[in-house]
Order: sequence, then structure tokens, then C-alpha cells
Amino acid sequence: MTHGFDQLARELSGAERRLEVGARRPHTLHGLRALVLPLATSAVAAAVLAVVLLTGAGGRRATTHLRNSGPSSSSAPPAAPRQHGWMLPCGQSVGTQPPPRAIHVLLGALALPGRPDESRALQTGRDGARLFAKSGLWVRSGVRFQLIVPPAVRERLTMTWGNAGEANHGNVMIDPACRAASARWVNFVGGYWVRHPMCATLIVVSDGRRRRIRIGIGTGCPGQPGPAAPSQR
Amino acid sequence: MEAERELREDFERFYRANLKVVLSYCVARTRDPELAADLAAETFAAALTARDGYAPAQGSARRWLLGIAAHKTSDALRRGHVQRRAQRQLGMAEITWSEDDLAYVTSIEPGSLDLVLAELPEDQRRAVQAHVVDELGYGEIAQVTGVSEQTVRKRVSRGLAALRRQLDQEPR
Repeated sequence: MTHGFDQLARELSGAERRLEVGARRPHTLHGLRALVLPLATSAVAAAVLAVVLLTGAGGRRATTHLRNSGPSSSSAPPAAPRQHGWMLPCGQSVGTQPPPRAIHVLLGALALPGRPDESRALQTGRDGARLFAKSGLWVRSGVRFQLIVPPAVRERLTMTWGNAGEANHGNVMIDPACRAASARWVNFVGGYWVRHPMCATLIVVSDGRRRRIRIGIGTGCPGQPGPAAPSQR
Repeated sequence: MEAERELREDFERFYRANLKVVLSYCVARTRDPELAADLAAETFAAALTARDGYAPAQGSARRWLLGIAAHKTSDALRRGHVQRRAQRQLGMAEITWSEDDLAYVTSIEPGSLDLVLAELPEDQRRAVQAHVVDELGYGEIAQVTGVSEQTVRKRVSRGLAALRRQLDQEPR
């Protein structure tokens, strides 16, 4: 059992007691992880299931259909981020494809390859005195986020997205106005310059939440396979 | 049915029995472990607030719960974040998910619902996938498969109905 889901069980139990609906007091939760159902789903099955659940007789009222579940013009934009950064121009996007299935979305906002839990390290090539690892960036249409290189690392790592060269090296932002007309994702290309292959730490901020992530650049992070082909060093 | 009884009388047990299916559904649709965890929390909170309104005629408690998860997920995908309406209503504290929690979410293996899908006859499975996932029209599918549009409609309809029936079965 993980602490967060144990805490959720306690919160729900407390809420149930407050509601005074149940006659019996809930039991203390132990061994959640061993007791939960061995049931899971792929994205395809989930998409089908969404339609099954949201439509048809016998289910809850059908108000939404999967193919109509794109960004809504009536959605309130998330709160403005406190930090300032370089605004990535929406016009520099190169496509509207969703991220590959193997890459998880971070904070509901963006997807980046090269994270140790889901893909190999990025391959680097020599660029003058430094190494460059090309990468893609998938941004959820209509969200606001920041991608930050921690100040302590900026001597060793800079990044670029869109066509800005190194102007946006430390703190990249995108705002909710960057939305595709009929797609859920906006794609950018860019990458990272490093002096030496490294397991880099980046910070993602979206909707007031922060996540620290790691990207293998030219070499694997702990437990991560190295690049598919040998990197130049 | 056991799940219905748990929903009404022992919500913690209901949570334990259904957490993984909700998480796996949410992470499969969002592919974001943190968002999926937030969605699971809000889904169970909403189920707790609405459980008096559940009627077995609507289908199994698990299907009812997944229906809530489906609506919450669609809403979160539109907004880019999860609204904590039910959790606030219940006075629940916001949970900060740890790396362990997120690793747990991502460790959930795909399987059972894929198997449910795989149990459909091949013509129905292909028709459902083409229409629901690939978003092809009935006419387009008919052209590709060489059968009439009426047949395609029938296959999709029967496939979805079979999936609903399977979801109404007791959790495995």
C-alpha cells in the first residue's frame, strides 16, 4: 500500500462518518495493495469503455461523447503561474499529434521523452564544444505550463524549444491561448545542450503544481538503459 | 450483490475493491499518473456523496462508479485539471501524491479490460474499435470491410451491448 492511497482511504472513511450514512464504522485499512482488484486497462480499452459508460441504456446520463471531448471554449483557464519565463510562441509548433503511448503525460499538461521510467536515454550528437540531444515536446492544447531547468544545473544544461535558439534556455512557458482548433495536442521540437552526458533534472509547473522529473541525456539515469545508439562524447 | 452492499454500508471496502480498476481506467485515458490519482480521489468522493442515488437498475455498482470516473476524466481532459468539488463538499484534505504513489499507479498492468474486449467476436471487436477508437463513420467501415453499413451498425451496437453486460458482472 502506498501512503497517498492509504490517506485517501482515511479521508473517505472520515467523510463517511461525518455524513453519518453508514451504520457500521469502517475498518482500518491494511494491505490495500494486496486486496485491490487485478483489473487494468489499456488506452484503447479505456476509450471504448468511456463510450460504453457515457452512452447507452442503463448507464448514467450520457452528456459527453469521447469524440467531442476536446478543449472547451467555456473552460476557465488555470490560475496564472507565479514565475516568469520565456513564452514559447504557439506559431512555432510543428504538429498536433498525441504523444506516443509509452510516454506518460505530466500534470495533465505535457509529455517529454527520455524519462527513466518509460524510455531509453536520449541520444546526443556533437555540436561544437557541447553535445545536443534532440527531443520532442507534446503540450496539451489549451493548458499553461512552465518547464524549468533548476538554476543549479544551468551551467551544465540548457534547452531550446521552437525556433528560439538558446533564448529560452532556463524557463519555458506556454499559455492557454496556445490551442489547436480541433486537436488535443500541440507539438514542438527542440532539445538539450549539455557539456557531458548526464541524468538531468527538470521541473514542470502546471496549475499550481510542481513535479521534478529526470531525463537521461546521452547516458541513462539510474536504472535506465542508455541511448539506442552510442552517443558522441 | 456484494458490491452494492459495500457501497451502501462499508464504503472503505468498496474503495479497496475498486481502487485499482478506477486508477487503471483513469491512467489509461489520461496517461498521467498524477492526474489519474487526483481523478480517483474525486471519483470516490463523488461516489460517496451520490451513493444514496444509486439504483441497481442502472447497472452494477462498479459500472456506476466507472461512469462517474468517465465523466470526471472527460471533464479533467477538457479543463486540464481535476475539479475537487466532491472532496471539498466532504471536507476532505487534498492529498499530495508521492513518487511511490505515482509508481504504484504506473505499475498497474494492462490486462483485464483488454481481455474483455478480446472476448468479443472478432467482427464486433473490429467494428467497435474502428468506430469508437479510430472514429471512423459507419459508411467508411463498411467500405473497408466490404459489408453493408447496416451490418456495421449492428456489430458496433452488439459489441457495446456485450461490453455493458460484462461490466455489470461482479468484479473479478
